[in-house]
Amino acid sequence: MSWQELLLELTLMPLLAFVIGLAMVLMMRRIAAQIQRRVGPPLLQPIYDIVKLYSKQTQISHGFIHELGIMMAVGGYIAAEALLPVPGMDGLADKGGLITLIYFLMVPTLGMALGVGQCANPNGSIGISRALTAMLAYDIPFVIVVFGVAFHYQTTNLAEIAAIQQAHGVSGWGMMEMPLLALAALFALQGMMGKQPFEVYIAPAEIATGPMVEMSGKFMGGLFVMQSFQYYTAGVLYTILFLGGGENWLTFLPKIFAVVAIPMTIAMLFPRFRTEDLVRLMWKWPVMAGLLGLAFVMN
Amino acid sequence: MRPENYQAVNHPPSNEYELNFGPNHPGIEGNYAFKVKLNGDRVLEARADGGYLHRGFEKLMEGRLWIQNIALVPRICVPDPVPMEVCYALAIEELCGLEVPERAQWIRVMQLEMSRVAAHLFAFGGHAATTGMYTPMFWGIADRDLILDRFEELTGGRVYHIYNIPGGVRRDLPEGYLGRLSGLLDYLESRLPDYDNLFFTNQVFVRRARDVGTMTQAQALKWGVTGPNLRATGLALDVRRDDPYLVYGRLEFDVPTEAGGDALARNLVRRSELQQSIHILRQVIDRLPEIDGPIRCPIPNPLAWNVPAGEAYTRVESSKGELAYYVVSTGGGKPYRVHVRGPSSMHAVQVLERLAVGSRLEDIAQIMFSLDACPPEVDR
Repeated sequence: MSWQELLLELTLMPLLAFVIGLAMVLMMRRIAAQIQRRVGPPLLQPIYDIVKLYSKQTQISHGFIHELGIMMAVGGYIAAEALLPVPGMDGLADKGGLITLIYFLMVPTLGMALGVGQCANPNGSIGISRALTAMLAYDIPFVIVVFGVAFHYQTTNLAEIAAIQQAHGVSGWGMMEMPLLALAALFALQGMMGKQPFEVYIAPAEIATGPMVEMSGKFMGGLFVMQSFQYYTAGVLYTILFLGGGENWLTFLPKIFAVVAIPMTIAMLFPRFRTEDLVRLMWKWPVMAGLLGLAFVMN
Repeated sequence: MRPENYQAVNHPPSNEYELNFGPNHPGIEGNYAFKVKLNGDRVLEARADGGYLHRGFEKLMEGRLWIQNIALVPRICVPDPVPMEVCYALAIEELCGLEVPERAQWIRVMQLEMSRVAAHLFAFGGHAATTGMYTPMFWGIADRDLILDRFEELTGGRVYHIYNIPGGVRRDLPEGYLGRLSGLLDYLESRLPDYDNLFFTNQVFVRRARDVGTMTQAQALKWGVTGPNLRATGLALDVRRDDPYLVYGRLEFDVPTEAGGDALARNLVRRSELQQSIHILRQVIDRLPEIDGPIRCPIPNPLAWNVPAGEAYTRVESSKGELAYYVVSTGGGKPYRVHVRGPSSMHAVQVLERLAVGSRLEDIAQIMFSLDACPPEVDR
């Protein structure tokens, strides 16, 4: 691949992720509305939201670290998109792989921790401490899943993992060959997306939306963009690991939207756990499922 | 704050910190505030901070004609306004010795129970939302809206009805009203299993609400707790049964209780009461067509109405607890004194402050919403 082609892919992949992520935000709001017996927002509402937030004057800034934190939050996901192969574009999948991706996926939470910590708002600080605890909780099953998948396919290259699955048809999908790991990954996905019952760090009634409490205008817009990337990343990663990736966009898009729809549906049906309950649950059932899945894979 | 204006403050080393719940906070009911001091996530001190809604209702009433206050009293509790109208009207009727026609009494009971159902649907939703569960909140609001439709048809107003006047009610039921109300009750009953599956028996919710904000029966009595909050400690006290007013003495209904005394028990009591209210409404629908007659007794010209001197204390069972009006007349065209005994005055101040101490940060909002306090009743 020439450097021009690579540059084009590295430009297109985050852009596509952003657009698809916005559509996912819309889909999730529509799902929520359906379950809650509401009409839900119009088609272009995510665009309206972003335009509105970015056109607002920012009232409060807490200095350079506050702004850097938001850039890290968005930047971590933009970097992650370069490692997530999509139909027709592999980006840097052969150079980075799963291990690098794990690091990139931690950057947004750490960026938020930096930025919100600078605000010195107790609600924000509590929210961030909860977010870091939640990350610790869901990262254990997630790392087990990653290790299991990498061991099973003998590679950390996501493009190769997708290609191996596609070569064997539906029966070769990770979900079929490693069902316990796929189940553990679903738990980790729910936690990664911060949806109920794992929505401990936003918790409006408890800590007044936590990390978002000091975010106004463009900062809030940044978080909104981050959320779009987050949904896309979670959907694509799960699809590549367990649903055979995407041979073309026609099969790829339904898969990633379906993956993202699962946590949203679950979220509408449960309250949030307490933080310690979240950790207890994550370190119990998903870790057990993951370890069992790993044992099967290694045999 | 802009960076150039930011000045770091040196606090002495401590694990303690203060948090403001409100007056603008998703975890607070209405315009109310709650200030807590915490160590980690454990509440050390708690102080209720009202006054944000203070419009001086009681004082305002002293400056208005008796009849004008009918438009004022429902604003003291927005989610459950009918008991305010009825209780105030009962006090004036007692002072004047007015005999309210039987048909008006049945219509008042019908509205009181409709208002209770609407208020409980609102309360479930609020409680659910404090635990991050928003679906019951949207369901509750949507179903409550159907009751407001019936109120609008009957009174012309959805939230503030201004329908119960001293001597009776303003107008009779529209044609076919009871049939439509019966259809609504069928619908609400068909929804109860959905609410149960989603919310009341949801194990994550049960785990979160159990043993949260627990009070014993002795504490509840000592602190002046009434209504569903008292009944959640196992004591079956209900003004409708123990000191019947209107036609409640002729109706069959249970007074549900729970033994836990915690947020879960309070929630379950309200859920059972909702079913009892539907049961009462069905009896009203059956009996009301048989009762003909006027809907109010003759009253003097409302604009020149001098209520005889005296004092009256009337009480009703609102969705929040025992609501009472103490009205003093000196024989003039305006009240000399009106005191409102809103149950939330106890629940949102002394009870909430005591229950919050020792609880955890994540349970503060849940405790408040489980008490179903109505801040305007405090700031009256």
